Amino acid sequence: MEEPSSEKKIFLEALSLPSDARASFLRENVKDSQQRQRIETLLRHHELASETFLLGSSRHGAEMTPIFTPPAKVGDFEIIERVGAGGMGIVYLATDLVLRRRIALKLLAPHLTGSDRARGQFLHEARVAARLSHPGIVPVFSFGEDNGVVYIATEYVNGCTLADRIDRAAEKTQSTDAKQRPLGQSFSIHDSLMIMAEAAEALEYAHQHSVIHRDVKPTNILLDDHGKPRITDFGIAKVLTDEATPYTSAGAGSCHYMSPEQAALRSVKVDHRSDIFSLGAVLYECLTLSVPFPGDTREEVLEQVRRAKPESPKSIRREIPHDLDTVCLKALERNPLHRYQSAAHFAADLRSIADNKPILARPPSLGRRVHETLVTRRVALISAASALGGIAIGGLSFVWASDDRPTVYIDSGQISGEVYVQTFDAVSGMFTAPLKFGRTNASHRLTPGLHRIIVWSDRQFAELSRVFAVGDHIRLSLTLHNPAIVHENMRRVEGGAKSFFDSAPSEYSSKMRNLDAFWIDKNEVSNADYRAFVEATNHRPPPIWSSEQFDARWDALPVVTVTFDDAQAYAEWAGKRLPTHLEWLRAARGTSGNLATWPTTSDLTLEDITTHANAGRVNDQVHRRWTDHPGQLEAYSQHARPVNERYGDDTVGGVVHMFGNVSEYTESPFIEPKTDPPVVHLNQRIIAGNAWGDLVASPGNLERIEQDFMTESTISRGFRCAKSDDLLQKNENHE
Amino acid sequence: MATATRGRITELLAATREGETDALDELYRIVHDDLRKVAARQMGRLPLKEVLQPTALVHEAYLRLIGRADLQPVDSRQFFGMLSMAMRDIMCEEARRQGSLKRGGGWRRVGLDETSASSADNTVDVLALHRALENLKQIDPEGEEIVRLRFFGGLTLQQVALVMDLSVSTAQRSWNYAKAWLHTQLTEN
Repeated sequence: MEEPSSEKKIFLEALSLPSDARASFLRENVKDSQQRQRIETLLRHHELASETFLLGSSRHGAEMTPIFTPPAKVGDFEIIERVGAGGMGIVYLATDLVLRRRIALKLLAPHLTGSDRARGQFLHEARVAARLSHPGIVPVFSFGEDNGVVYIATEYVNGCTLADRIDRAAEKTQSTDAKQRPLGQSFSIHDSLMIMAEAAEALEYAHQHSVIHRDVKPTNILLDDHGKPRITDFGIAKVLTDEATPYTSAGAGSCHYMSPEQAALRSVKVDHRSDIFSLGAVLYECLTLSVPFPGDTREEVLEQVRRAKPESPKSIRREIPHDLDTVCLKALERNPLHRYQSAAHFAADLRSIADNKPILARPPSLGRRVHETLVTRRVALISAASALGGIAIGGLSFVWASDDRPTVYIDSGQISGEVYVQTFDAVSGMFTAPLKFGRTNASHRLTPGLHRIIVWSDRQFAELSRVFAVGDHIRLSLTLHNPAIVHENMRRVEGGAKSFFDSAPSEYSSKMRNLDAFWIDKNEVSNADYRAFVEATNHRPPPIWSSEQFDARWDALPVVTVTFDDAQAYAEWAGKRLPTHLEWLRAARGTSGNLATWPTTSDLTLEDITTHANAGRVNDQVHRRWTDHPGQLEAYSQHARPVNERYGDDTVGGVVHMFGNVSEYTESPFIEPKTDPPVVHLNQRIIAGNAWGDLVASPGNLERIEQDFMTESTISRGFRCAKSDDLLQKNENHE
Repeated sequence: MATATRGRITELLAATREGETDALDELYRIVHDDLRKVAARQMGRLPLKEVLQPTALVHEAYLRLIGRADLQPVDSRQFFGMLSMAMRDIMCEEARRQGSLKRGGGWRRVGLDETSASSADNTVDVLALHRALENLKQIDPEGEEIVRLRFFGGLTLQQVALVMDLSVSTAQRSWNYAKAWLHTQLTEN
């Protein structure tokens, strides 16, 4: 008998080929005619065996729905009854015994509680949903484990799924003459429009928060008792700024609603437009009660998704308005560039149809030029700067359809101001000089990438930096600040020619020469500082605060377990921003090159560093990701120093704790070394300085490039803020 | 459930993790007996010819076990593999016992989509499948495990991939081969 594993291998290779290419492949690769026949037989049987051979299948997900008896009580929740099942678990209606309310309790399928991967994925689901707070998204209350049962508690939505609604409508249709399709009563076009518009708005919110759902389908859209859609199940959602994302493959997600890029089986870039496609497929099904890409087997469906154009909804149901037909097919465009570029646009068009207003989308046959003109006119934003749309930036040229350029509306309230934009340049690793863009309370078009937006108005000031992506339509509300007040407790650092790097030329030398003067916080942001921010804005508190042992007397200690996003939000609230890595280095080393008021770099011993600078004190796991481990809190209370305590590491300029205490976020994205053209990771920012929680501290660490994802946080990382120097004089040069 | 059993299961689970095969055998016997009782009870509740879902059985049994043991993060592949074996054996015993009912012996695996229930594919002769699987195991143990976990263990492909620590696409490919192989065996003979 032949080596069986080779038979499997050849079979699988043949199977991956188009069916008409298999025979010749086998002739060439299998000499033994008996073996060839056997493989041919297997291939035939692979086609013969239906998708349900050994298994079941159903239209809305093939999950088996295990019936098992859950414990009567899980954590603080008392289980009432089973209400549904998802890919990884079973959902129960339960009572929160403490807060005395009804909640939905999702239990990880019991056989999966032993699998770290499954638990990780379950936790991921809870964490992703916990980032989001939107009326169209089912909120997560808690995650926990009780006696081997892992659970997620979410709001209980009293209603049904959109799949139930579609199925009921389909049943009604089938019970009458199928040809006539009298859908009106069961699921009106108006209902579909409102549900889908609201679902699209909820998705837009998730996308704005860097979350891609990746499994948008009717079973994941709940309808509450008012018929409002609520998106749920972020089990395979991708967080754009996140390192750990559950496995993704064509095996994940439901094939009927999968985008072509998801169905392509390659790990291509799947972005928010994939969700828009899936939502388009759901809209299609709401309207026609049939899926856009039918097929008997999963393979057939995926093949359709990859290659076929769906039948026009209007051809299936005549009363569908022409515009709605256009909108639905636009969402289902195979090329992501031809789809709606944001869920907000999709939602807006659905609402326009509901209100009998003209839509933005045009049938492709009318030509995209018309579309662009319409869009441009509608947004009414032509600023001088939009002419910059197509230029190459720092050697990297971007190609995008002109209507896909990110648009930002800058809202400065009552006070109008001038808008300046600085663009992050990958080659220099710096922001370009500020360019005047126009006035506030208007829309501006940007290039995709990282920009710093600065607003000046009669000596009032605001600035922030954001990553703008193709298709973004973002509204930014800025509060203007008085610089004189903001500068309190900050130190001004000179920019310009002279820098300590001149004596030892390095990649930083020339960059430092181009650095503008700036301001930087004297101290790290403390718990007390951050508390004022949380109280004023309702921003989420750092996880460490919710630890039971967290002591209110630690107000003066640096705030930790904050993410980059948290730090940036704080800075913006305070009228500041985060420093760039270059600014941070310059502040740390001044112009002389001395690290601090203590001796020069070369004379420092490790002991000096750990003593003077409060760095590298902890040599176990506690400095890592915050997990509410008791040891972490203890280490924090022992080693973190009050932000205003001085222990001899002041810089010449009077900035404290640059060297040690906590490591700090910078605004600078991580750029891969030695790549040409440079590869910039906008979702990873450079961390500067040493921390008490570091394993080893070294003087060299000041310049180290440690990158981190923007949603991570640790027990020994904090931040301080910076601020651009007054632009007033400089402005005149750019008029 | 006797407390003695509870302690025993905890011990056995620990021993299993350390690779003691005797412990696995004893654990298997306990699981098997437990499944048997659950199956009998469920069968008693169901009307004649009604379908007993192996998935439901296994999950219930698993939950009962969890309730009886201080479960550490167990090697779920081994543990769930054992459950699926116990399930397979019980289904085969049942099929033999009800020998007069030729096909499926009253044990039929159906999908949720009842419209396709008429397809012969949905009815599998458990004993024939068992024999075919034993043969498959000789040439493709991975494929056998995947089919056993899916058919007798009631896991989805994603769950199988998690439990066996395979990528979903690898599991899918292995499944494709095993499916074709079993289909050939079960229909050509």
